[in-house]
Amino acid sequence: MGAISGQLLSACINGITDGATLFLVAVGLSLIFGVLRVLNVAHGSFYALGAFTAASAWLLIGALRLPPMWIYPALVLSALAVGVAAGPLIERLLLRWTFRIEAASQRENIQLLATYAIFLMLDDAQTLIWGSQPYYSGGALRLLGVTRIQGIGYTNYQLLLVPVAIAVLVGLRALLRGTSAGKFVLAVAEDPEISSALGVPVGRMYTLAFTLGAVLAALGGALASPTTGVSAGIGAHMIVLSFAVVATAGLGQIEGAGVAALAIGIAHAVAVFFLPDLSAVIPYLIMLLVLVFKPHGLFATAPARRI
Amino acid sequence: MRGARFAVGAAGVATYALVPAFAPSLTYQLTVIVAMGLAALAVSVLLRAGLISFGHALFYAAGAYAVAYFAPRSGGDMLAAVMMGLACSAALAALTALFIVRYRGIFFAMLNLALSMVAYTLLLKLYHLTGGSDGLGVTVAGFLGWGLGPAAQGEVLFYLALVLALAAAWGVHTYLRSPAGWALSAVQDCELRVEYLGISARRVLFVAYVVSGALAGLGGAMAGVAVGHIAPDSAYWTTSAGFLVMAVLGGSGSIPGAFVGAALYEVLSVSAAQYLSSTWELLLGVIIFLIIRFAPGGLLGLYDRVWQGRTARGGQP
Repeated sequence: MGAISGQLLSACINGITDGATLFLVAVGLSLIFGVLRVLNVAHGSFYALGAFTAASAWLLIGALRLPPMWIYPALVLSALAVGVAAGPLIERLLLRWTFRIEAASQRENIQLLATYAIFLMLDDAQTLIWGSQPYYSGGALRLLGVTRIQGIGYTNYQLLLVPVAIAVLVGLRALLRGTSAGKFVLAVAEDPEISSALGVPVGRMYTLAFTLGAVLAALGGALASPTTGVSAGIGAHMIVLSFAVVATAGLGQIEGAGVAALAIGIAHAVAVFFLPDLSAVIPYLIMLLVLVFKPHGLFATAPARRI
Repeated sequence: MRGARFAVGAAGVATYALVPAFAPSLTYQLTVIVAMGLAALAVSVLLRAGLISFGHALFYAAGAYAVAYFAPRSGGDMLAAVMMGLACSAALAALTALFIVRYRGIFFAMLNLALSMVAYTLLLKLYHLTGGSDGLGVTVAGFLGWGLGPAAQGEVLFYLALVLALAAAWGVHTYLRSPAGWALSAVQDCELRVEYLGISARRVLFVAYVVSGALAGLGGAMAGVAVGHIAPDSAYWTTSAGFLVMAVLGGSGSIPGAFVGAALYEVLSVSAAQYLSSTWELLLGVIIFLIIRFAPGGLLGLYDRVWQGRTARGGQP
């Protein structure tokens, strides 16, 4: 009995910490969808680029004999560098033209394909830069020490991911609701045409939201890189997981994505303990189950049908 | 112009059918192209209704795994095995369609994706049934009672694939020109108006989804027999995206376009894998991007544009 509840607690803690990085990626995806109405298939690539950049930063810090603690600001800087370098470039050069397509269903389809093409390009760009061998930066994990809960050790780094994710959520809310740029972004999400008529620079808000989403995904990757090895294919794997989170929550939902990421993270970790073979199916099963009963996700309402 | 296009198509198919006689080493690759073309055609049928499936690898893999499972248990006839693959995928598609026809747009794409990822994981983990990440061997023996050696089997499979693909193309052509087929395009234009005409959009999509699943299963079954092996990767989401890319490369929603797109995709991936081993995805990404950006009708749209440009300048009609 005691062993089972200890395992369950441990599964929950693992699930919550996994859910924290998953949340960062999914909330970026949701933000991009909410504002640009684009389902970004290349989103997992930002996660991967963030993770690889962070792993390189760890190696660089080791090679230059810098204080190892510098890795923590370096993680955040890697994410910012990836998002700010790749985000505006991709949005302006490769996506902007799709917004001029009139028919909505055609536009959605073209955008799915365009972002898939971007995924292919970024995937190979990543292999060209980092090669195909895996990177490990697990050293960053143990710098902050270990906490024992009921006899099982957890790295403090892992435990800290949760407050970090919450801080990002609060910061994002403050940014969107409290600053004028954020209010412009929300206005564009609500109705780009009317926003444009009122003088909101819609194009710049698209770039801003896309870049912010890319930074969030890269941050998810950078923060996850010490806890898991970084290898080719993590982007392709992450994008389908974050799709599951975003679809479960409802497209464009930010707080909802947090709840869904947490639920999926915990369910997955519990399944790892009790049904290890089938644990990878859990996120998709949750998404399928939710969509069967709530066709637009848990927290979104159905749009009106138009003639 | 329609006549001219038909003549070009017929000449293309005839040339394609003759290639193995002169270059037997290409037979395998040509068979795989036809099989991929069928899967791309499956995706294309749904594109007619404006629906993108990011999970058709599910039916493709189901067809191949069905052959791997049933062929050794039923005498191993090639035609029977391939038809078994088709039937299993069609049945699976019918089951899926029962609830998936309620969804549109991105949710349709994501549910297909989720289902195929569930299938991928199960194929990977249910080791005793599926062989895990090693996959299963796909072996057939004989065609309609004739025993075949390995070389003859490749050739028979190629012509069987060609005949079945032509039959499928003709079948889809007829279907798209039937009332159910027209209703399919109408669903993309405006679903509400379709329903005001007294047609059930869900029933229309149900038929399209089963047709599509059967086509993908047929393609998967033949690819499985051609390769002689099937692994869970064939159900991963990037395989589905590949079919989608083939359909769009050739020409969205076009029947010959699916096969032209599959040919281009295979040629690109095989030659690029040979010469640019680590950058072929980059190249593919750039080509996909250029096509959707500058030639949204795909290769066939490009062909039509060039052809029309010629006739407009006073060439032959």
